[in-house]
Amino acid sequence: MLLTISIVFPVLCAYIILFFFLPRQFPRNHGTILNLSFSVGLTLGFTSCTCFLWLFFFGSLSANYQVIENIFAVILIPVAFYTSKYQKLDSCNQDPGSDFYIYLRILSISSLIIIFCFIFAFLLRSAINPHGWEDAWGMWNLKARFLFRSGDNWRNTFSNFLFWTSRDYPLLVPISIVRIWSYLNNESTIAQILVAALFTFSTVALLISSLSVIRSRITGLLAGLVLVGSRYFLKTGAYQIADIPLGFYILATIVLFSLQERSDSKFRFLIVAGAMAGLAAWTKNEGILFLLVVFVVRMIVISSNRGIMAYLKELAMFTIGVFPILAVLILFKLKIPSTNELYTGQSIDTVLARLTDFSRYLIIGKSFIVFFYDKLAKEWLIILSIYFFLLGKAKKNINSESIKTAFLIVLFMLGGYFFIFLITPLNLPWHLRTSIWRLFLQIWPTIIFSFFLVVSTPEEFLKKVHFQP
Amino acid sequence: MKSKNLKVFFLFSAIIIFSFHNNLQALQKGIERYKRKELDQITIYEERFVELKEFLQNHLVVGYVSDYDDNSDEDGIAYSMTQYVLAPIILVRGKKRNFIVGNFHSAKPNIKAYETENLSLYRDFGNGVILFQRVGN
Repeated sequence: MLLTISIVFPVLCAYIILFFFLPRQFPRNHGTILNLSFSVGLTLGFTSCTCFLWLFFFGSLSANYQVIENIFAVILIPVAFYTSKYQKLDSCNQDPGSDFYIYLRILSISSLIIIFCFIFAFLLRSAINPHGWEDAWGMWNLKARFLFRSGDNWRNTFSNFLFWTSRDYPLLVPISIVRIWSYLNNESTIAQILVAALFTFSTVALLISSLSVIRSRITGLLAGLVLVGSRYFLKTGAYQIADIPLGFYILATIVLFSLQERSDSKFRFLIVAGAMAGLAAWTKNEGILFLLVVFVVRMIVISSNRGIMAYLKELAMFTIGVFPILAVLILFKLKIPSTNELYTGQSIDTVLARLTDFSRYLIIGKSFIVFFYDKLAKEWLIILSIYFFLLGKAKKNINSESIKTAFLIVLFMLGGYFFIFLITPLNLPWHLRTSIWRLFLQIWPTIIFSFFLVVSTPEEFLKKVHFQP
Repeated sequence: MKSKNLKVFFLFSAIIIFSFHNNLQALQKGIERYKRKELDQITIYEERFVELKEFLQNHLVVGYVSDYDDNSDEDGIAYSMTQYVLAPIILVRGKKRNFIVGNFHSAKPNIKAYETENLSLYRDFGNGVILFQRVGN
């Protein structure tokens, strides 16, 4: 019951709010799942911000917080209803011809079986290791315990003695766990498993439903199979670390950019995209890099396509979504004293020395290629290359801006990671070995999304396409 | 048209087979591990440190020593796990605090070496968990 109040109720409220706020024109089935995926991310993200603000201004989480949170969620529903809008979306969703239903049926049944295996394997892993993996109990869940157990002394979480816990990392994941514990009034491991499961499954649901809306249901299911079939994705999801949540917010931002391209209510999508990008920054420091990259990439894409004024208009709307979360992040960074291990002890001379050491470029480049090919995506790179070779590029492409955005974001993020490895004061091979797979997983769902946005759908390929009016 | 259908069928099959194969493998591994009923390390640590945690509940910062030092990875993991189960008590490596938590491989560790460094055995909680108290300077 308490678990329901802590998660199901606010997700339901967020769903209703989004249902009214975003134009209601998605195909019913996929639209419901799409909205639900967004709702999960927004609920966990926003409540972690409000929880942090409560901790910051009032001390430990009390029953008062829970009452106010739920009242606030309910109040927002009529506000969203008042501003609701019913508009048509230029859907590219393709109705498969009747000849194609046999493919769709085979794919749907296979997907159901595979996703069932995926969920069951995830739950088994979580049952075997309910506290997650090293980084979970060494950082994310450890912070959750400190925040929850310390009561009014929650700032002890950021004590100098705990310098090794990446104290400056934002708090979305730990506070989401603390929030559920505060409802349950105990430290059940269900909370951390639930947070990990919600983000992992929502990422899959978001990928499938968004591509089902934007491209076709078959494309959505194929993309979902690629994601759940990526070995590291399942493992990392069950590890209870923050990389899968960050990957969710990165994907959600890019999906919202794609959806706004085909909507009359662009600004509404941009506001939600801003919120998602802000929540990415509130999840991990790499999310702050993502937020900066989004500003730069959209400036390049929009300015070159539609001029600087169009970019400034978009920026204004995007900023409305980002601002509240960014304000919380700034409060955290400024008021909670902590240092970052990547910057501690760095000087211009040491950074320059590392930047001019070309052996570091080789080591990092080799690690990127070896990891990406050998560990993360070996079979998928081969299969998706054949897929592209056989089906080719989509001809009718109304997603040009979002395709450019997605590819440039992935490219810039990889560049950012490369740069961080170049200047890292930590032992480079160790740093690469312990973090590269997590960094790639942050952008892996977006890479899959971008690929299926670019490539022809099977329906287009067989030229039996009936575009929905 | 037939060749196009064949290509699509091939692609569908490849994606389904690889995805199914990877998930089935993960599932099998999970079932095997679950059947072995192995306790995870944190649960073992929670049980080892439960009494000590109760005893130290009014302390904010305590010291930490261990005999895992010969392997830095293992040592780091042992330290993190101890910190995780004892939170919100903060563990500081070294012997400079009044109370020092000892985390040892053996249930009956050799504590003589620590006693020569101004530490006295305060209480042995069993399973390699020992609380030392600092004496003198």
